[in-house]
Amino acid sequence: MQFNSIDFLIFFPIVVLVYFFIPRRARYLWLLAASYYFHMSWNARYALLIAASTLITWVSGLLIPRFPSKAARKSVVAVSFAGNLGILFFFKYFDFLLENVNLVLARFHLQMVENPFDILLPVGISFYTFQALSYTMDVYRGEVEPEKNPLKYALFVSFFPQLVAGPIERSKNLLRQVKNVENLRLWDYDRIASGFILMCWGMFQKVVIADRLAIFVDQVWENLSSCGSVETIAAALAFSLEIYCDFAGYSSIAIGAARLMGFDLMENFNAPYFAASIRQFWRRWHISLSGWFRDYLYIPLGGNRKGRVRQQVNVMITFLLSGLWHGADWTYVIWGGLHGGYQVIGDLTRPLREKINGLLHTDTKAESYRLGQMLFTFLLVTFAWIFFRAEDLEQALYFLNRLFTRWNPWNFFNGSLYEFGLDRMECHILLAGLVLLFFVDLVRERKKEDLGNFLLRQNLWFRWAVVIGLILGCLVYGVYGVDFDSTQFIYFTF
Amino acid sequence: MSTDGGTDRIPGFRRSGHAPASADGVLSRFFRVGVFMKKWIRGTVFVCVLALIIGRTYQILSWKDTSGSYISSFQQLYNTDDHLMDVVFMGTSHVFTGVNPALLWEDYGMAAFCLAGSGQDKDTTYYNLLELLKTQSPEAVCVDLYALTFGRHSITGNIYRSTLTMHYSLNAAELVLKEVEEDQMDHILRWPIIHTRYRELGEYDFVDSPLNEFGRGFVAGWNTGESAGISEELLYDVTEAELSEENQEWLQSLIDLSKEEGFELIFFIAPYDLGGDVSTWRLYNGAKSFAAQNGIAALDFNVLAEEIGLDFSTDFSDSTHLNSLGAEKLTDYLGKYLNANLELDDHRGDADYELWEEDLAYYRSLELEVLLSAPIDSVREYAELIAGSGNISYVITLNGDYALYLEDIAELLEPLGIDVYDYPDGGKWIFADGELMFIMDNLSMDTYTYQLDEDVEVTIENVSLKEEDATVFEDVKINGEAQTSMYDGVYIMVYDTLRHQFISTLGWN
Repeated sequence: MQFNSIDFLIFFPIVVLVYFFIPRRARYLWLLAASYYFHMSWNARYALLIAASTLITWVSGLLIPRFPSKAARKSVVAVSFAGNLGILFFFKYFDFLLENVNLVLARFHLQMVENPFDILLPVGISFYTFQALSYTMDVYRGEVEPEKNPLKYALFVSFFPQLVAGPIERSKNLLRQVKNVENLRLWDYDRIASGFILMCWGMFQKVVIADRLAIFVDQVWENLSSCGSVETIAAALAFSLEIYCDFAGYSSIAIGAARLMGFDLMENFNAPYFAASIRQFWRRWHISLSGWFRDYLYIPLGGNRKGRVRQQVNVMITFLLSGLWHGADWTYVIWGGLHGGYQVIGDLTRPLREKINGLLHTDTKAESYRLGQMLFTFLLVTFAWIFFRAEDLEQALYFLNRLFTRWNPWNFFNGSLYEFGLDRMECHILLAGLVLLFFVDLVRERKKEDLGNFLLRQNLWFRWAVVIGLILGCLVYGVYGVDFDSTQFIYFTF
Repeated sequence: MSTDGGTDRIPGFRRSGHAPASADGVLSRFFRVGVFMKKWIRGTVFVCVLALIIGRTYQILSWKDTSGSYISSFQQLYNTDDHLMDVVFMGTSHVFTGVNPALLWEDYGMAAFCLAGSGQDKDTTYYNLLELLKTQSPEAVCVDLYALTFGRHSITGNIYRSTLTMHYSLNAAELVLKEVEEDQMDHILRWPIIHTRYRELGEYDFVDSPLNEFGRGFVAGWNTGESAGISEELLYDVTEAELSEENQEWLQSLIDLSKEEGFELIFFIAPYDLGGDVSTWRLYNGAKSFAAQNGIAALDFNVLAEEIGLDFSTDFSDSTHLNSLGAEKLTDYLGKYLNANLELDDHRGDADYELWEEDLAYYRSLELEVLLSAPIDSVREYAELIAGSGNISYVITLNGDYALYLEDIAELLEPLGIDVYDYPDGGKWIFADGELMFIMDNLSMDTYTYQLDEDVEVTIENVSLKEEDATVFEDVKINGEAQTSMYDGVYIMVYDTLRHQFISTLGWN
C-alpha cells in the first residue's frame, strides 16, 4: 500500500478515526494491527520477517542488562546483529553475491552456481532492520531501558507511517512515545492541522513534482541512444530533483501522518540542495540514515579520533556501506564511494583551496561564494546520482559517454526536450511546482521549520489558500490513475 | 510529543480538585474553551470550503458530452426536468444516428429522448435505463437489440463513456463492477481518470449544459456512404438461434423492469449492413421469438427497410449508420407506430417542453447549414431558403457595377422583399428572423451598428465614400474587421443566432 494510492486514502482515515475514539489502553494494539495490515498489504509473508526481526531484537534487549559481563552483553548484541543482518543479507544481497561469485567463476571457466532461491525483496526491510538494530545498540549502551511489553516494542519496529521508507527512528525518540501512547494528546487542533498540511505537501512533492519529473527522466534513460549532452544533462538534473521530491515527499507524509496521530518523528530532510558542501549535504539528506551510520558505524570505527588517515578510511567505509545499504549493485557502491571520495578530496584539498582563495582575494563570506558552493555541491551530487539511477554499471557509463561526447546545444533551443513525455503545458506545471518547492525549502532554511508549522503561524486566508492549492494541485495535476485520452472518443465516435 | 500526565484535555484547561474557580479563573476558562471551539469551527468551515471547491472542480473536469466528440446524452438527461419524457430510445450509435426525437416532436408533440451511446452494451443499457427511471417515467422504452450481437465493451473509450457518464450512485458503481475488471476503484472514484482532462478543458467544461447537437440524444449527419443492407436470402430464413444465457437474462431483465416500472417495452433493430450474416440473423430471429413469447413488440427495420422507403445508397453515412435522411424515414415509421399504439399527449406549446422545441430548432439550423452549403441550382432557391428560416440573421450588400445583371439580381433579392430598382446606387440590408432591421443606400453618410448576438457586432458605414484610400470591403465590418471577401454585386452573409456562428456566405455577380 503506497501512500499515494487509493488504498491508503481509505486506510489512513479509518485508522485515525478508530485510533481517536478507542480506549486509550487499546491504542497501541490498534496501531500495531494497522501497521501489520499495512505491511502485509504488499505480501502477507513479509509479516514473518518483521516479526522475526522484532523478536530477536526484543529478546536481545531483555537479555543484555541481565549479563553482568561486557563480553556476554557484546555477544548478545552480536547475535542480534547477526540475526538481523543475516535476514537482510539473504533477502537483499544474496542474489548480488551469487551474481558476482558466478562472474569470478566464469572468468576462471568454472561451473557457475545456480540460485536455489527465488527471492523477492521485502518492502522496508532495510529500514526496519536498522531501526530494530538501533534499539539493541541503545540498550547495550544503556541509553534506553529495555521494553518489556513485546507488543509495544513490535509497534516501535513496525509503526506504519515510517515502516517502508523511514525516517529510521531511534528508540530514544519513538519507543519512548510508543511506551507513552496512552497519554498522547490527540485532540490538538494545531497538531492535526500541521500534520495534515505536511501530508499534503509530501503528496504534492510526490505526485505533482517527482512523478512528473520521472516521466522525463525515464524517457531519456530508456532512449539513451538517441540522446546527447543536452538531454542527459537535463535528465541528470531532473533526477536530482525527482529523487529529492520522491523521498522527501514520502518522509513528509510519514512525519505528517505520525504527527496527526500524536507522534513526533525525527526530521529526515532539511533543504539538502541548499548545502554548501557534501558534508553539509549529508547533514540535510536522509538525516535519519546518515545519523544511524554516524552513531552505529562511523563513531564505533573510531570516527575522527584516530588520526586523519584513519578518519578518511572511516568515511570511505561508511559511505561505501551506505551505498550498499541503498541497493545491491555496484552502481550503489560507486555512488556511495563518490560521496565518500568527495569528502576525502574536500578535506585533503582544503589547504590548497584556502591558499587559492587567499591569492585571489576571494571573499568567502560573500553570498555569491556560498551560492557558488551550493551550486558546485549540487552538481557533484547530481553527478553521483547518475550511478544511483542507472540500472547497471554499463548503462551508467553509456549515459556518461552520451553526456560527454554528444554535444548538441541546439537541442536546448529547438524544443526537442519537449519530446520526452513532458510537453509545454506539463513543463509549466512542473516549473510552478519547482518554484513552490524552492520557497518551501527557503522557509525551511531561513525559519528552521517545516511547512506544517510555518503555515500555522500565517494568516488564515494564506494558510487556506496554500492548503487548498496543494490539495487541488495533487487532485488535478498529480500523476496518478488512468491516463484519460479523449482521442479514444474522437476515434471511436461510433 | 505532547503529553498531559494521563488525560486528554483542552489546551490550557486544567483539571482541578480544588474549590470552585474564582471569577478570573472562570473567565479564563471560558476564554480558552472559546479559543478551542473557534479553531475547530474554523477547521469545519475549511472542510466545507474545500468540499465546495473540490465539488466544483469535479464538475469542470468531469466527462461531458458537450464537446461534440464524446457523444453521449447523459448531461442532457440530467438537464431535463423530471417526468417529461414520453418515449426513450436506447442502444448503440445505430440509435443515436437513426432516431431523431426532433422530428417526433415536430410531427406529434411527442417528448422522445435517445439515451444511446457508442457500443452501448447490455449492462450499460440496463443500468443507464435504471438511472433514467430515477427521474423520468416514460410511457415506452424502445431498446435496440444490436447489443445481443456483442459482449462487454472492449474499447477503452466506450468503457469510459459507459462508466463515467452517470452521477455518482450505487447504480453507477454497480455498472462499474459489471463493466470493468481492472482499476475498478479508479472508475468508481472517477478522479483517477478524469483529472487528466486539465489538458483539454474547453468552454463547455465551465458552462452548464449549453445547447448542443445532442439536445435530445440524436446525432445529425448528412454524409453519404453506401451500405450493403441485408441479403435477400436471409429474409426467407426462419431458423431461430438459441439465445445465450447472458442474452436471455438481459432481455428478461428489461421485461421485468418494464413490468415493475409500468412502461411499454418495445424491441427494435435499427437497419445496418447485416449483409448475409446468417448467425446474427438467426440470433435476431431467436430474440424476436423470445419477445413474442413475452408479448413484447419487436420491429426489425432490416426487414422493414423497403416498407419505410430506405435507400441503402443515400440514407447511410457509412455502412452501418443511418444519416439524417435515413433517420427521417426510420423516425417517421416509429412515430406512426408509437402514435398508433400509445396514447401520448401532444405537448407542443407547453413551456415545460422547451428543450424539445430548442432541439427541433437546432436540428433545423444544422439542416439549413447543410442545405445552404449544397451546390446551388438557382440563387433564388438560396434566397427562398433563408427567407423561410428562423433563428438566422443575414447581411446583404449590393455594390459596384452590376447593371448588366440587374434583372438576375432583382430576381434573387425579390423573395427577401428587396426591390433593387429602388436602390440605383446599391445598398446594404440587415435582416433578423425574417424582419428587415436596417437599410442603407450606398450614398448615405450614416453609420449603423447592429448586434447579431452578444459577441458579434456588424457595423455598416460607407467608408469608401468618406475616405479616399478605403474600399467597399471596409463598408461592412464584423467586430471591427472588414469583410475583404465581399464581391462586386450581391454578397450575403448568413448568421445562425442559435448556434452563434456564420453558417453560409454567398457572393454573386
